Amino acid sequence: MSMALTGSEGPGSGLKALHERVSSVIRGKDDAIRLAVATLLARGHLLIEDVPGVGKTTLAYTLARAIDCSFQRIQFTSDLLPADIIGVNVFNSETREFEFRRGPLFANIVLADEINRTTPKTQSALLEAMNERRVSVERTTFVLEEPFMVIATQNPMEYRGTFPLPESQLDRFALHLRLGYPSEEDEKLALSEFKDFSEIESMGPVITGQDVLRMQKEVDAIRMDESVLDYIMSIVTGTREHDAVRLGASTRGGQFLLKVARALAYYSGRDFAVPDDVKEAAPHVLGHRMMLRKQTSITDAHRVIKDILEKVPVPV
Amino acid sequence: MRPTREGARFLLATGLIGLAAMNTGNNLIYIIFGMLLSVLVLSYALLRTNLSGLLLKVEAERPVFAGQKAYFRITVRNRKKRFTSYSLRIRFPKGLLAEERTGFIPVVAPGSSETSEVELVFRRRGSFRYGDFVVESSFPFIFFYRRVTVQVEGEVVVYPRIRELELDALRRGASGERTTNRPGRSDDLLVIREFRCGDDMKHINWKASARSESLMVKEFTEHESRMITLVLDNSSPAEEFAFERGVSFAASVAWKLGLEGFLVRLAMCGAEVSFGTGLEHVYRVLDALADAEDGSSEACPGVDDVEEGEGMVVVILKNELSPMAAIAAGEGTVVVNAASAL
Amino acid sequence: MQHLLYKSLTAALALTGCASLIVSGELNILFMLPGLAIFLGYYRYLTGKPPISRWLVAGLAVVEIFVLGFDALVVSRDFLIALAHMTIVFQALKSFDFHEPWDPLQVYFMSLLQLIIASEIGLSMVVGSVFIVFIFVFIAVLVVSHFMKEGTIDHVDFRRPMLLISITAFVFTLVFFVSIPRLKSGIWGRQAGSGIRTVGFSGAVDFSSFGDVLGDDTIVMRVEIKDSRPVPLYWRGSTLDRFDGVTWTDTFRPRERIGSNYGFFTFKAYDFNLDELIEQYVILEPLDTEVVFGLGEIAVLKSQSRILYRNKAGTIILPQKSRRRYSYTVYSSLEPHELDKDEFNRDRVRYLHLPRGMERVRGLAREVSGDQALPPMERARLLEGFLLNEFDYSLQTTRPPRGVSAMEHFLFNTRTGFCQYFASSMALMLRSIGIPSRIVIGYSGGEVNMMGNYVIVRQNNAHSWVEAMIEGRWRRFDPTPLAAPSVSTGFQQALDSIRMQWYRYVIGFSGSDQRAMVRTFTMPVIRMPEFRGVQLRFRPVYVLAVLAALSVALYLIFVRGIEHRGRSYESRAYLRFRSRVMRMGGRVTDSSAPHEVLDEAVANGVDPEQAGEFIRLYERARFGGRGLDSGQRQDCERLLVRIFHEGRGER
Repeated sequence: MSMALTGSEGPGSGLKALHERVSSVIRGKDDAIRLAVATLLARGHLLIEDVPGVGKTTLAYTLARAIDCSFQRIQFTSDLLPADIIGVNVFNSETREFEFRRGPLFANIVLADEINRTTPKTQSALLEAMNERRVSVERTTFVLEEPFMVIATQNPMEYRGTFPLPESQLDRFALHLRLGYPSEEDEKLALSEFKDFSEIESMGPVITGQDVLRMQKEVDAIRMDESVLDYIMSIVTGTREHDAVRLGASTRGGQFLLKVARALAYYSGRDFAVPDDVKEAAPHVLGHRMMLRKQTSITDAHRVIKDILEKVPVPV
Repeated sequence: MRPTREGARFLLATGLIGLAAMNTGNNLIYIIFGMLLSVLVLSYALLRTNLSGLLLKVEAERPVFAGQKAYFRITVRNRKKRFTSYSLRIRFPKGLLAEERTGFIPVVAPGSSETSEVELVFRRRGSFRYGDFVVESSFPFIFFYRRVTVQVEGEVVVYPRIRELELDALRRGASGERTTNRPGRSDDLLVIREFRCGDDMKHINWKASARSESLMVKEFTEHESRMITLVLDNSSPAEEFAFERGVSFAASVAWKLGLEGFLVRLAMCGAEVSFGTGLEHVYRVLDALADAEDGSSEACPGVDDVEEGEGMVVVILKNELSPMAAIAAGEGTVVVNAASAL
Repeated sequence: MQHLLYKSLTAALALTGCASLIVSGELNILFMLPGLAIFLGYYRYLTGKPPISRWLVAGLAVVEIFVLGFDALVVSRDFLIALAHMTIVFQALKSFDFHEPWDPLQVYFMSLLQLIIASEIGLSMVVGSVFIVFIFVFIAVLVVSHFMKEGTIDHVDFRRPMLLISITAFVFTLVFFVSIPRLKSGIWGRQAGSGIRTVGFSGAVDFSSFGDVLGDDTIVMRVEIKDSRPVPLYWRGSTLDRFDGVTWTDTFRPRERIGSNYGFFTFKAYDFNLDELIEQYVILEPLDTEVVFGLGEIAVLKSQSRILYRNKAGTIILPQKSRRRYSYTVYSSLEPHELDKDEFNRDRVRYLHLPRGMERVRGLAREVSGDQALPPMERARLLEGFLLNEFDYSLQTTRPPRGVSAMEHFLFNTRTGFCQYFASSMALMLRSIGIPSRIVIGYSGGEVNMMGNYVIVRQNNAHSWVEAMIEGRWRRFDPTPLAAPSVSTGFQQALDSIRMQWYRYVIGFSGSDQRAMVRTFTMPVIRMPEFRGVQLRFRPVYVLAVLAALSVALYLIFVRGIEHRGRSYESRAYLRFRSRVMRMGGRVTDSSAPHEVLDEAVANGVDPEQAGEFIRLYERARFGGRGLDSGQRQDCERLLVRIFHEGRGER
């Protein structure tokens, strides 16, 4: 859907700059970038899953550094403890008092690398914080600063030594993205223009955190016609009624589909959402929330959603 | 359209009245004849309409275990725009069950769906394709009925029989007695050491701190060995009885301990389920067990590299002669002989 | 628990069945008395009281069967009536005997049997209304019994399907009723056992049935009479010469075949002056007779037929009954011509034949006709006057007592009857005093239509009169007095009209009615009455064109209308766009989003900018909540035209 970018009604200049920045680093992944940025605008969290080396981390990193706000990266390992990401009460020997030392989660954008390498306990600590946008330690509650977005990456389930995220946890991610290998041309370009993280850092931000907050507010105001809402409902219901599905998408899935569709509409410079927005978002928003009867990978879920989309009539 | 017992009488009456009408030429008898014919025509038309545009969906309420009551939800969706469907009787395919089962749905309004619940018991584990369901109705009258065969896609996965087992030994083996030397959150004290950044306030041992005049924390061993790897021996075919008991044992352990929060992993030839928690994960393990076949010729990747330090390993053997007996040597490994132990 | 409605319907059906028998008025009250128990039975049934002992019911049933035998053999001496008594008693018995939920089915079939019996023994209109109630209730009960059997009667709202099915079944019943082939095709009113008669022309005069004869204002023919109109109008049809005590028939079997001479058929065996003949242009409705009608004696006939037949008595007959409106021109003479004496004498015996048992009639004739020496003309006038003055006209006749013929009953007892009685009596009396005579059947009078200046003759105008051979000529006598001017209120007339419709179209529905209906629906040309000078004729092409236009309009209004009903302008425009893309070969379905449709359109050679512009306009209006003003609508239309026409032209 890059077409919408070329039309007279494009995204705002800040958004455009953001998109151009990320796509100058990640070549040939316009759709993925669009969805990633839309997730940010929809106040959602992003899960990127793919084999190592296709640019998961680079995408997350570039996006984070293009925004002028705090950024933390957590490399998940099997011995990482919840306290390692949330933070701990530390005894200050000078003041003889305990003070809370914030963990890396206290940042605007958190890159959780290889999230399925850590134990379920640590995973759930992260995901609870993500969902509630606050952290409770010893009866004190710390509200996380807005904008707040977690970009998690994970290796496909087939890889050994991993703890796959349970479905209930996956549900907290607004979007689940697969990058896939770039086309040959783009791959060549990527090789020649290869940038390491310090280079990306040096490029500097293109928009501020305040810009993001403003855009998020504007996305909330996007008009969602009743018929499009019904369309979303039919799709969500469709996932529950499909033969190949054992467990359909949750209500939260529907909410995220609505939010991401709005963000995509905003991305296209419209102040109203159309069925195309829903259709574009649906596989990525709903795919990871469904439990299939015989699932081997996320592409199966995408196939099911495509099947549903071909059956549900679009409002006219 | 087939006649019921009343329908046969009705047809006979129609024929006789038709003859009477032709014979006497009495127009009032013609009216009655016409009425009976219209009943016939309406029967035909409405029987067809009643059973058209219906979408049948059959779901088993998970989990379905062999030998336990299972509940099936039969959902009929009426896709017609105007006509309500009445009195739908849904017969289960003959092959699926030993006994005859039917669901009944009295009425489905246009554009809506209705559900009927049917209770039944499967004798064997495995995946069963649904196959041909028969939808039957005699609406609008009682004279004729019509049957439509509906191919229902999908399958029901029947999990192995769950047995009441004494699992305390396994539970203890997997969590209590054997701990690693890594720090963690079990109740077993590992060491008391000086406070470091990032330590939990809860663990400060004030008594020790007072003695040494510096903050001391208790460190406990890690519980991480609440992990169980189930190795099911299905490498070469043996008696069915022993194998089934083995599968049942594995399923019972996965079901009970999985629900208690143990990380369960399943390894056998041709299938492997990595560690995980939660109900969905347990189902994944049970799915694999439901379809487990003895004498698998496929590779056994999970079985071959059971690693040290990944919790307890339970090897379920069919008999002593099994080639898998070899891997059952490591520390923290329990060997269960399926044929005798249960 | 049985649903109250189901019980009530069952009770209603049982009572309907019994009522249909009772209103026929043929039943013996004594035998119906046990049937009163039905009220108690259904009261108990409806209030949920338990059924009485099966043994008691069975015992009473056996008793009733004996009563049936006694009734049929001794009292009623009519098996059907006895059976009717029995069904009523059985219904009453059954009302105490409901055990199983489907027991009421027996009640339905019993009611059905009762209705059949009712239709055999009495056919009053009340039975008709009972019938309609029955059809409704029967179907309704069948539907309810379905829910009964499925055990869902208390959980499902079945009133709507019940009502709809009842109505549909009723309509279907009517359709079947009119379309089931009638094997015994005949003239309506002569149905076996029906005993119903309406006035009208039938090929014979018959005194075998009694009761009411009903009026029928169906149009028989329209006649335009050239020059002056003579009064009175007697449209002669055929003559009847032989009476067997019950029926008058025409015995002149051999018919002369006459060929057309340039469309003209000439029948006169004598000289005639064409100027004296009266010319009538007749449009005959399809009738159940082959006879041709005309004033007086037909001399020349002009029609499109190839051949016609004429019998010796002068009746002109078409080769077959006309299935369509049939028109012809008749030239006829009102003045009877003189017959050849020798030739007449050969048939003289026929016209003097009397059946046996006419002694009383002969005596009366002699008494009334005065002195034998009087000229035959005067004696005939005396007879005519006697009947005209001493007798009354009525369409109601009663059955004569045993051993009395219909004629004697008329002449000596009732002294009332209708034209056939008068004509028949006079002809018989004439014969008994030696004057050869015959009955003529046809129509008399007619209603002059001032607008069209033609005469409309209806079945009500059917008439029979007498011709007597006096001085070598057949002289006409009409002994029927005028019907007393009936004073009827509007209500009576309306009621009579309903009765007429019921008898005409239900009881008397026949094969020829079926054919007439088919003709009405299938005639490609609607042919208006044709009069010379004014020819109203629709060409089939126009009719078909109008029909086609109508169906297209209906399609647009209903089918398309339903599809697009409630859609806003932009949605309709978009649907047009989408279906165009679909027709261009774009893979577009209901589940294609606007931009996918746009992609398909572009892939099929549509200008991307214009199509994109259109889709943007549509989306803004449809999903953006900003309706299109008239200027934007025009833009849309212009875009649509440009997208699909210019784009194609360029390629």
